[in-house]
Amino acid sequence: MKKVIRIVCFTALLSFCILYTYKVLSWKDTMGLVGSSVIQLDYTEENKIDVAFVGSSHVFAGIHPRTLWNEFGLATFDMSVSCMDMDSAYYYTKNMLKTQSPKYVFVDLYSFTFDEHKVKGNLYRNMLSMPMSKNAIDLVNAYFGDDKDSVKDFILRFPVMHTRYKELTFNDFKDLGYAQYGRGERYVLGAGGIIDLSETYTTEIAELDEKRIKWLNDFKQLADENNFNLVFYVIPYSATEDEQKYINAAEAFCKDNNLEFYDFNKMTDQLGIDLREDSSDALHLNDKGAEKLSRWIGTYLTYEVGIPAHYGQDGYEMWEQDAAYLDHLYSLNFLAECYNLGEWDGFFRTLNTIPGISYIVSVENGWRDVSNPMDVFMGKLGVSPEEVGDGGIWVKVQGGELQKVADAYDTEIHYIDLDKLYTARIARAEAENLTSIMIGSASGTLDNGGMNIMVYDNTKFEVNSKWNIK
Amino acid sequence: MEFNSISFLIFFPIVLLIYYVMPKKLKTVWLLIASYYFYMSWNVTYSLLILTSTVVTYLSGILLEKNDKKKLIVALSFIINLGILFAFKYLNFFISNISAVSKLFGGKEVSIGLKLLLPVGISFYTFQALSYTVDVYRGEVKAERNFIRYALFVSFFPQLVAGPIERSKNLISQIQKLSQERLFDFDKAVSGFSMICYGMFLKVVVADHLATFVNTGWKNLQLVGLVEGIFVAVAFSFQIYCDFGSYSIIAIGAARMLGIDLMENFNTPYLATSISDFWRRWHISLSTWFRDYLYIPLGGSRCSKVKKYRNIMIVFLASGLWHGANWTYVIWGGIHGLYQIVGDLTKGLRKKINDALNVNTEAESYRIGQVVGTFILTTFAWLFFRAESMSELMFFFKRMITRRNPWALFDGNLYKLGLDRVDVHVLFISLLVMIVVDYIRVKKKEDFGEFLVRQNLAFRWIVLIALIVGTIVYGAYGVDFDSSQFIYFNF
Repeated sequence: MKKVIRIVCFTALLSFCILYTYKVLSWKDTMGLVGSSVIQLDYTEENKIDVAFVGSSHVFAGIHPRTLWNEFGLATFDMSVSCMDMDSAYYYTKNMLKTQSPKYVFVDLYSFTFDEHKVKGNLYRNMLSMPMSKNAIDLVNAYFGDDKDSVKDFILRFPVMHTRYKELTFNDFKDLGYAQYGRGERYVLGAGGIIDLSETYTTEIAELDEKRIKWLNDFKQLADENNFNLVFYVIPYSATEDEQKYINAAEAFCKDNNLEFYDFNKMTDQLGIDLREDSSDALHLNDKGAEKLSRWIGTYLTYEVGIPAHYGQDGYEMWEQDAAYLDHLYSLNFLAECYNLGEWDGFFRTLNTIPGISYIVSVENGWRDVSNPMDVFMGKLGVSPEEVGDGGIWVKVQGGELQKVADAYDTEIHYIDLDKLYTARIARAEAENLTSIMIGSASGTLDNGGMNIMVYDNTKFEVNSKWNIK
Repeated sequence: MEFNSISFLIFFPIVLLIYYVMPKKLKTVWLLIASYYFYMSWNVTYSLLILTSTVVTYLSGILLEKNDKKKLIVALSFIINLGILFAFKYLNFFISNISAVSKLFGGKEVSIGLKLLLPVGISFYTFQALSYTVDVYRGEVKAERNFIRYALFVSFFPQLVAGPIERSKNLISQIQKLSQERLFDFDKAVSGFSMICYGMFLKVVVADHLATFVNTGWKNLQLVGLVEGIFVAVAFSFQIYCDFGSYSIIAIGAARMLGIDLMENFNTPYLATSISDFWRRWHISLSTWFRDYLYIPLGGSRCSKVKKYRNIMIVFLASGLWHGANWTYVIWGGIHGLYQIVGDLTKGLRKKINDALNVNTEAESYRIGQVVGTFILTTFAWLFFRAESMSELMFFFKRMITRRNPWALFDGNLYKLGLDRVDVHVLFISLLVMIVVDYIRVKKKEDFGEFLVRQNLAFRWIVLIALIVGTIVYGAYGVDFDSSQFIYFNF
């Protein structure tokens, strides 16, 4: 009996160690950086999501839950994975329905236009983002079919993800930051590309294979069984002619089955979208384009469908936090714009008031020899000319006051805790104007004359930018 | 079904559980079924070959005890078994050599147009079955009358496809006891489990990472200079030891969990102080097989020196050929034979030199020198084993001689041969683990499983969990790795 107990205890301990290892190594996108937002669903209270947008990166770039919340009080979620395939779209939706009862589910038809992943990373993200469950196993079986080796690898997951020991970050050990309140979107600020719609005007309809027909029908059945309104849609992107033929076929199916369908590629005027200004590349809208599209959808859902707002209600704090996060990103973007335009008032005011950042300011020793008003600039940060003196180093930690940590010519090393993860190591080198800063694995040398500023983003736990003002 | 596969990790616990639940009388049958299932997972048709070998040698054993024409029976057993081995393993090699000779003399190319897949483990089970024939002939064992027991002896799955090549004296007697004694020994099972865990670690973490490095080096000989060449050569020495050694460790562990003791196959071979010492530590089951069934019947060392050296060369050339149908293996065997002969011839001279120079042969430093020297000799010979052709090997040597590049030790080039820095660090730590285990073997004269079972519970659990989790995390398996088959499966 003793031996049986020993075996059981050993097995339990081994299982715990393996499960912990799995938790650390499992692929996760906690910062919205690498192409999947699904983990953020895990932090969402049950039955809070009004509308889910399911699909590829077109969704997480093109639909902003923030806009839908701020302007309409709608609790929406981007259930999106980079290059989401058909099987993933179906099973991720099915999985979401275990904890959520959305009134509307918008399914992006980009998934409909291709059969297999061409990029390994996208395959991994799609197959591995869902927590292990029957749906996750069904997804793998559906996608790989007869390829038993791949089925085994992706169901066990370790064969795919065990090499992640080479790329572990703090996100793999602690649940921190954006993961806890992101609503699935990824913000892409500024224009950077142009969506080309020249091939989307074909009216030809592709002949659908069995898999595609089944997919459309399965989604319809899922909607009927779970009592949500199903909408198939296309977010503006440079669809090829062949892809457009599939989209046209889906439209025909929707017409025959009384399902809502929107090809937003054909509605850019209605949305007020200028493809030159509102796209980040050939395949994605930027934040401006996303805002316009989201506003149109929000107007439709509020005034035509009648979904009520949730302002002030319990359980919707995540949407508030998510909205605040975009404000934070906009502020950092504005900081850069002010710097580029030399708008110092705006620059220093923003620097002083952005929540969620810390910064280190270094004024070169003996700056008075330089014909630049360092004391004036520092005055904009609330530092008196006497305190500026001959130069030095100041640090402002998130939520605190700007404090001088080193006088001019002080070569001692200073350590400042920036948050629960990182400590800044600051040292002025022997050569007068070299200030070296190490924050985690990031390091930088502020070595230009005048004033140097390093901004650390406490929300993303990373160095955001370095500025030099002479 | 390889040991380092999910199939085996499912198969073995099921076999084990049913084995201990089954009535004693049926244990042998159950193991036989499991063994044939194991073998058929490789190739169903070729299980007929192992069955043929089993029937032939089983009958030879019975006939040897009943018949006076003993030598004829032994000869027939050898002809049939070695004939099958020849047909599947050496026929194409033989034909291609005849063809080469024919073309040399202006003749035509010879071809039989037959491509036979090499049955897994054929070299191992053939030798194991033949050893039984000879043992019965010599009267060292009685013929096994029970066909099921004998069939299990030939096909016992832990050691079926890559050894150790067991002796009938050891294995048949244990199989006979399966239906008689209560077998479950908890400590033995824990010891066996520990061996399996260690063997998996050695294979999946150490050997397969080394394989990546070695294979990258050999596939990109244009990038290899003296430094890279040395590292690739040394890495292969460890790769083949860890790869082959790990299989034997897992086999011994699995058998031990079933209550059966298999012979040790490796005993810290790279701590050998001479080539002959090396062969007492490396692939012990094969080297003792050749000693008992070829070297001694040829006369061994109880004859003139010339004949002794002849016998040595025959054994090592045969050993080389056993490893594969390629001249590189034969040359590898021949080199080892040459080492032994030169070692023997120079023994007296070396003693005279040591005496003249007042060398203290009992000093640790002398022993270390012997170990290093032996390692260098065996590593050099392994190059012939690894190379796919003589021309490839010559090119390897040429690169080493013409590209002397000591700076490669410092400029990061070594991290470009398939393993990045993290991989190299992992490999370094895991090689340290292997060295510690080998050190324990030397000092305590017990294997890893035996050592661990004597330790306190907490330590044992920590080590086992570390090995298992380490294998899962750091193992060279999965979607971005080539599934690295055990090297000796090729034989």
